[in-house]
Amino acid sequence: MSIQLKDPPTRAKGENRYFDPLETAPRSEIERIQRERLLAQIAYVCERSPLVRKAWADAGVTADDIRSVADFKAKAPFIDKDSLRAWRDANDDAFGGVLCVDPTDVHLLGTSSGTTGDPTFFGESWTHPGDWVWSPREMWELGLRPGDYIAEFNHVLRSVGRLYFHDMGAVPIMINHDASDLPRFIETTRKYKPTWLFHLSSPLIYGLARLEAETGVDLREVFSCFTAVIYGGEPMGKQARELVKRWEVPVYEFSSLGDSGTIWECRAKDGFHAWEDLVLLEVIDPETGAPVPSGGRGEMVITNLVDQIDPLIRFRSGDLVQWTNDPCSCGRTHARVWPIGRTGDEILVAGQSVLPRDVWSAVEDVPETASGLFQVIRPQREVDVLRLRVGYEGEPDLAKVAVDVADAVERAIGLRPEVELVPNVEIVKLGPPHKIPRTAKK
Amino acid sequence: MKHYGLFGGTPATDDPQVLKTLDGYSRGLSKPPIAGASDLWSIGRVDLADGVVVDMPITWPEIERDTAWAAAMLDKLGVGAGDFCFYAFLYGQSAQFWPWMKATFDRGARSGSGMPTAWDSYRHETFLRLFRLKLVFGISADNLSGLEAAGHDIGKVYAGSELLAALPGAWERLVAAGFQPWRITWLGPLLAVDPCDGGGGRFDAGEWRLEAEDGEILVSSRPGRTATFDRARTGVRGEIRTVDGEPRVFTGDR
Repeated sequence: MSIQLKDPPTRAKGENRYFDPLETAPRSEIERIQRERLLAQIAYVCERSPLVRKAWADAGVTADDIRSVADFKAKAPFIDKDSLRAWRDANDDAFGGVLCVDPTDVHLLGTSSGTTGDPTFFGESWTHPGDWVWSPREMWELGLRPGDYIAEFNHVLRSVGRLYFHDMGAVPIMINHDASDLPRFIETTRKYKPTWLFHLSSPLIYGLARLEAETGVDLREVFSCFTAVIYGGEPMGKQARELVKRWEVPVYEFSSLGDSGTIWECRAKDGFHAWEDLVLLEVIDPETGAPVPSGGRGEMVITNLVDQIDPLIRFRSGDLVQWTNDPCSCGRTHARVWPIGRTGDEILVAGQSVLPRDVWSAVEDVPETASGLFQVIRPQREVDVLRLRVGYEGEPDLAKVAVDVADAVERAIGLRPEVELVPNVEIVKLGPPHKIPRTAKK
Repeated sequence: MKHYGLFGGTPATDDPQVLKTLDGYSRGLSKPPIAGASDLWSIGRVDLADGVVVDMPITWPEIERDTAWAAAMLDKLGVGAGDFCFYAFLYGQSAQFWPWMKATFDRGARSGSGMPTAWDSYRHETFLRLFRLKLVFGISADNLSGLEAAGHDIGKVYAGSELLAALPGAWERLVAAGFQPWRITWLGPLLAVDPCDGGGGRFDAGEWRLEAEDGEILVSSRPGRTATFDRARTGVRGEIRTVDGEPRVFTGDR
């Protein structure tokens, strides 16, 4: 026997757009599920996670003190990436003290990109029902159906894409997340007519633009078969947006949900949905820890409600977001967020706060550096002078380009940077395949 | 809610009929029980001689057969329940590497993965520093160069791992560093695995036929493979000999 999904596996998209009734549940129902799952999760984790147990003991809080979501928000201590690293170093525990199962129950050790230090390890299970990074809801909403082909640019940091597309009955066309594999992408796209692409990134968009310039390939024709092209890895810059618009790419973005899952745009493209039956989402003032109400900006804090392998409890993600719990025009009732940047990427230049996004458009405004491949040099949080490493295309007059970039950045933020120029083909080697680390220590 | 709607291609549910259908199903480890699910596991990639790249459609049953062969090789390597294996490969090579990871899971061992690139060598180093690895499989020359460029001593980095399996270019350097790695060689759609016991490289002769012509290994697919190859040039120098009643491949100038 097989399970018949609501929308038969045809190419007709758009009907029955909700995969799961929970996507449009009333807030009262979402909050009921949250409370039920939160209390069960706390009881489970406080018994098993050494890091959480210690953090709660230090704060003088026990699982019995928590009777509601409000209690939790008022009393539970935060943890963050530094807590996990400190636990890992002090206790020789690669999982940072959050593993809640016997290590033999971990089937796979996935890792983060690790662009700024040792990668974070994720204990993963092939079989556990609450272990998730992607849910099928976003795939369904964006038109993926069993039997579809997917052009999948990926890496193997969390194994073979963690098999989510296989789980949906779709067929990945496996392509290295590397600009050198773009000709194969074009060839296989013309052959198999995939409906989905996962995922585009800044380096791949730069590579496509370069391929277009060198070969004259018609990228509008290449992308014409796709229902959805997923972009991720980092925020999309202005230049990339203009390129995908010109190529008529049906692009949707996804991002991380505080190392506890992912958030995706729906077809309304009005924010990234965070599934609140799977996580408890909070947004706080990064300085004071005070809650930020719907409509405001702050740091995203995540509690995983269903993962029982290595759940993060009240984890300060370091991700700055704007958020709302107003319903989306798509009909979904879960919270939405708009990523702004990373708290760890902020640099204070002579007392002025600068995030990579603040200089991004200025870099892209200079024709030779329009690819937007750059890094902010951040040896420590506070510096006297802003230093940028910027990728360039072709063989330009480097002295002039450096002045042009400095002028553009100064116009944008009022600070004149020192500019180091590096060929684009070299700067893309400074990070993982799918993104440029936007800050570098040196 | 007994099912969170996170795998099995079904929404959150406590419907006993759906739960019964999903009983024993684990995300992506077998063909999902959804109407319309493809019989294909993926479209993989094959690199042949002279830079020729071709597709390799592969079905769920083929993955199962390849997993059985990888399991036999893991037996030879001595990988058992509770062991930890690290695999280095590119995503486009997943059709060939997933059977190894699946065979690792099937026997109750754990795995991690990274890429055979210079940039990703730091991930190898992190795994090797934090875990006692039974097997590191797929070490490339770029990995070693990346480690050395970062100031690491290869001899120290790999000292804690029991078994190494390396690609040509890395194999020689690991031998020079005092290790006794297995040698693995890409032969178009398949990997040959040589324990370096003098008996040559093992390959799945039930799925593939290898022959040598003018000193180059040619590959053909056996009936039952979706992707067919007929004496395709691999670009690898070597010869085929029969050892212990089975064909073995002897590659390179060792």
